Amino acid sequence: MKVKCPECKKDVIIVKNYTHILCESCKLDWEFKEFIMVLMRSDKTAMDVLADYEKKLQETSESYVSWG
Amino acid sequence: MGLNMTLEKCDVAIVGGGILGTTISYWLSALYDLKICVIEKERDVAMHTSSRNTGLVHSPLHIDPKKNNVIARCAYVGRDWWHALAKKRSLPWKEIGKLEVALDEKQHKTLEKFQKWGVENGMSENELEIMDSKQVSQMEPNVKCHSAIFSKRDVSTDYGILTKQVMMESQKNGTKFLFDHNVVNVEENSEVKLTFTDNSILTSKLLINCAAGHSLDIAKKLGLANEYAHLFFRGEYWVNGNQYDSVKTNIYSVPTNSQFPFLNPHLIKRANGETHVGPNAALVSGPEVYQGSTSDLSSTISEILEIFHGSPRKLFFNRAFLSMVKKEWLSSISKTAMINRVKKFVPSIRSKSFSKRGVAGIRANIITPEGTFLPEVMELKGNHSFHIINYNSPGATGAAAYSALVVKKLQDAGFLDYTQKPKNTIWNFEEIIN
Repeated sequence: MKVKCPECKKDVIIVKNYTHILCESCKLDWEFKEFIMVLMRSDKTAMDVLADYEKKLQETSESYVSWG
Repeated sequence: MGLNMTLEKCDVAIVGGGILGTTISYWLSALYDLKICVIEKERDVAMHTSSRNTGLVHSPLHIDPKKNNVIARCAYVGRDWWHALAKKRSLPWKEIGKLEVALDEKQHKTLEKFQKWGVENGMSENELEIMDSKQVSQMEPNVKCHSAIFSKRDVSTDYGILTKQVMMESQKNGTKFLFDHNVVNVEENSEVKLTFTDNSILTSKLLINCAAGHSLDIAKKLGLANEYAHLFFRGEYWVNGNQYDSVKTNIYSVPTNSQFPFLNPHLIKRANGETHVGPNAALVSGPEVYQGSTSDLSSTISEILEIFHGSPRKLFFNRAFLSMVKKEWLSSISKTAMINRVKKFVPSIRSKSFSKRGVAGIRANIITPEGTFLPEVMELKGNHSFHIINYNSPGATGAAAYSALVVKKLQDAGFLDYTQKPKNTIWNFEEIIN
């Protein structure tokens, strides 16, 4: 499978057993977990959902619903 | 219990006292005179997913008969079987049906496909009615949609109560239920040896693994399915605290993302009369994480990735999956976000009417080495063991029928080389196996 570097958009190298992700172009070596976090933050659509929600929270004064 | 105390030996040990393990024990005890033991780590049967669900008996209209006709048939037959048990023992059973709504023409095409599938899966044409928006308004004035399909066969019940009844029927046939016993190790040699947390041991000629969210761990202890992983999604509900109820039947909407096995939150009429909104599908770190959440999704994902290894990790490269995780998580931390998903087809619904959380349940999904959701049940055989993994919705609906098929498979595989001594049964074994 091909996965793009969130920084330079070139293909990254997935190290065997998915422990590390390497980008030769950016000379970056991420731990898998770290890479996914970067990927999530770069997912604009999903981040917009959250940003919109947080904005609405301020407007409506709803608070996060606690599990108690 | 003392160190390494060996409990009674048995012919069949079933790990997991959920609806599946309990119904399998019933069939085995009804057909044979065997020493059968159901091992459950909790104090009773059906303490997890078997009780923590919508309580709906689903018609098989969402199941493609070409891809999964066995599960579809189990759901079809299973509905009538549960009805027979509920009637015989006066258990909860409300035939209120289910209305599934389309919001546009594209979704309407999906409804037409569901109607076709439902009929191919055994439903009669008059049990599935396509309605236009006007007909829907007459039936449910608060529902606004393009069109809908009404399934008359759908029923509200309580699977926890049904499972307890099956346990009693199984006990009458001689099955022993061993509660408060948590399996920590499994070995398979000439027989299967189960070790529990208190170091006591049980040996059995055959192990049937029905441990739901723990089933993959048990299979892996015997060297099976090592390349697969489990992910857990919590389905959360909100309960309507108002006397005024906006709908009379169950209201579902057409699934909007066929890539993942989750439906959108819907309005559920429980057998006890309550109305719930839910479920979402919030990613959580374990099979029994029923409570708690953080406003920091990164921490949750980080925790899950610590225990999620190997090639199933490919799933996390899927942006659609990550987006789905965020959307569902939002519905976990915000009641309004959850209610707004239902507002699309019940505009009058108000967040403030839903004043308390309902009982959450966990769905365990298997992720393949290719990083995809496994869409069907996984059955694995060991030398003296049979493992049922990824048995999901409409699992409870079809459990009694699917269990009969499991017993037939065990017979065919030579695991049950005993003389049959059939007793009177609630359901007809031959109806499903032929």
